[in-house]
Amino acid sequence: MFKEAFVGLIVVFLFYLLCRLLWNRRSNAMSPFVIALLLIGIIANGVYAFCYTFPHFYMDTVGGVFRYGTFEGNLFAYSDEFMFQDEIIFPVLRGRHVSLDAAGDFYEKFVSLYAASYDRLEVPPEKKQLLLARQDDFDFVHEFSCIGIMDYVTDGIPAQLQDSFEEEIYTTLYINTNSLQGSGRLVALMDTDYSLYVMSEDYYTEITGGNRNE
Amino acid sequence: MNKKALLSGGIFAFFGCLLFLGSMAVNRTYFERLAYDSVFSYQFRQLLAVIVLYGLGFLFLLLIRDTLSPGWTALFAFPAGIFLWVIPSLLLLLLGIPYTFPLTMTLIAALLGGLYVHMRFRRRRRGLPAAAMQALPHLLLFLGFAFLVATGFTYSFVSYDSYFYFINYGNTLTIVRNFQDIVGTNSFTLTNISQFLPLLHSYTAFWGLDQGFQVQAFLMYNIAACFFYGLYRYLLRQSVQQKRALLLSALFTLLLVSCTSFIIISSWVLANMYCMAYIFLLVLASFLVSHLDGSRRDSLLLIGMCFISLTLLRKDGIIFAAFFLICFACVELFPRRQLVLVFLPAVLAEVWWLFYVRVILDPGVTQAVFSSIANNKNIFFVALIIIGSYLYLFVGHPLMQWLVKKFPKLTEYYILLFGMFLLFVYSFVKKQDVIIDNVDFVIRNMFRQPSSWGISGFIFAGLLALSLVRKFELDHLHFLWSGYAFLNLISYCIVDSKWFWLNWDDSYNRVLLQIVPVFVFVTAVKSLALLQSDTPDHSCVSLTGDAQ
Repeated sequence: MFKEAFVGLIVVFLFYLLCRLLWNRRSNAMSPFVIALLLIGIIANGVYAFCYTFPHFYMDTVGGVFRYGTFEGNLFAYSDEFMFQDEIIFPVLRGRHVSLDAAGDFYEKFVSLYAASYDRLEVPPEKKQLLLARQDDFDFVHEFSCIGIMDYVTDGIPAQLQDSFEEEIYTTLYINTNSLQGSGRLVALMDTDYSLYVMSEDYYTEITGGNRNE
Repeated sequence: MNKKALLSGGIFAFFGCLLFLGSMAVNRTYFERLAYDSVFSYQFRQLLAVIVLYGLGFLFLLLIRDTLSPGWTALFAFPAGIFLWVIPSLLLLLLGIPYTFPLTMTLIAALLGGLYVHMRFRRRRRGLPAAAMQALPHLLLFLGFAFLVATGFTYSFVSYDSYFYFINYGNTLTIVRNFQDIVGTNSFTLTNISQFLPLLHSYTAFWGLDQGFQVQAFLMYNIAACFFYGLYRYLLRQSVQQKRALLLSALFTLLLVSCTSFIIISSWVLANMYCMAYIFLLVLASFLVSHLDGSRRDSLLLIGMCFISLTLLRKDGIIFAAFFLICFACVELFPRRQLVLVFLPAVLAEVWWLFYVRVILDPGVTQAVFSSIANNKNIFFVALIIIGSYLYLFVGHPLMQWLVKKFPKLTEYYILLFGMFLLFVYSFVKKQDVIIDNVDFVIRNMFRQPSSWGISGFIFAGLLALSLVRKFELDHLHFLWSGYAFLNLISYCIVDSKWFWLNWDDSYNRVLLQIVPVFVFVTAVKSLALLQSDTPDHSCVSLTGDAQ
């Protein structure tokens, strides 16, 4: 790289000499020359930006190519182009009431912080199984990746998860996004592997018949 | 009032408004599918969040300004508004008072009220409405910008740090409302970063927004507007025709905003973007005194604001501030006593923050594995920078002045650069392999493809050559960016003993990206000097006018 840098320096110096010569001999030509250079620079930048930067926006990492999220037209921090897709949980919880699975202590602090309000919900095992069996209804599936946030929103990592967390393998977030629109009440269930299933209360009631008659 | 400018501003704001309204229809589908909120209300909150921040800053500057024109007041308003939000927020959190939107706003209102009373008491009251009317074309331009950024069509991108340290943490602060309850055994959010940007994200979170992209995008437009206006005013002052001044300023501004390096740094949700903005603004504030018609008092107030912001933005912010302080001392732009005073609030902010993290927080937290702020080494270097800066002002600078008088070919910044070079040689001797690799990475990060610089590196090399055509000389304007780049290289190599890496997110690469607007501005000012006299007789050319 040093060789290329040296060659680059020589090219810049030659360019400098050319400009200097022009200024000394025909200084009245400097104005169109500078304007032309600026225009060339702007066009080159524009072409580079629209052909390369905006459509691709790749970032090299040690482990290979890694894509950064773009947010054109996006009002959320979450983007489905980005690796930290679990950010979706924040706009989903915001302003909603969440009924959290009574067995889901692990997520209680998280839900208590980010949902508008919450309560605990006793879900009979057969109803939970009924819901968890309908995997196809949960169209959003992604591993929690910014689990680092749990640093200050959980009260501790269960022994069962400690090994996998050390290897940066985290629990999974499932959301039935189709049921969310217009619904201010959610139900969040936790599976035995600590995965979190989020759905609207209407959907929960529709599938399980609700808890009112329990 | 310039009717043409008013009309242009009005048309721009009108089309911005149309786009804003149209964007709601586009965003509605995906927005309401996930959020329990109305897209209309959400986007209006985005708009209001920006306008309120801008309005606070504008009012603040109107109340404290001396001779700053309404145009410049409008241009510095948004960064001042951000500053005005962050400082009371930090005060509340440090004092353990619940951090809420009403309390923070009450504090800001009290400050503004106090300033107003003070202004009345000293009978220096100028018509605030008249000043606002004078700034109307600028205000309409910024209203247009506010509409644009509130559409949600901003180009922003994020990395892990953007979420963990800024967006999510800022959001969480608004819920937890104090620092103590955020603390865990490894609370990196308190011990690893400075708090300026999280507090700004708290502001947008208080408005019920999911992110702060609109604030960042607005600041980016603000920087571009400042860049344009600064060049334009400079050219007018150099007796360049108005149309020509407009064309040249527009071309240089377009060159800046189209550069990949500028796009990357201003779109990436990290503290570097805000550092870039405040560094550019403080250089511009000094430019108001050195090249335009600004008063020292106004410039010093703006510079003081930028110093504090830089110090609270990144842990190496105090280095940036100290460097520019010394730059201003070098060219004697301000009296030494004023420089001492203007740096003091930034020093106090830094010391208070270090004291808080180290002493007041749970001692277990200060021992966190990745604590990079409150460790002994960092505290030692911060102390060294603060004491060194003041020693320089009181002892170093007079000594340098004496040397410069003895050897008129020398300038203070030549001596400083030579000192930096000696330090660099020393570090090269001590850690040869590290330095060679680091310099190699710096070059690769700038010039290889793809990179965060795109083709900017090549264009900047051309610009630099062009700026030196008139006189091959390193003057204080060139020292602003070259000294900054060199000092940070040394700081990263020696103080942090860092191995750089080949990537966009290499710390030094990001620190270099921060100086891009200053670099382009300086080279533009220098290159434009070539066009001012189309005469072959250059014997009368002098740069002293440029430098002082």
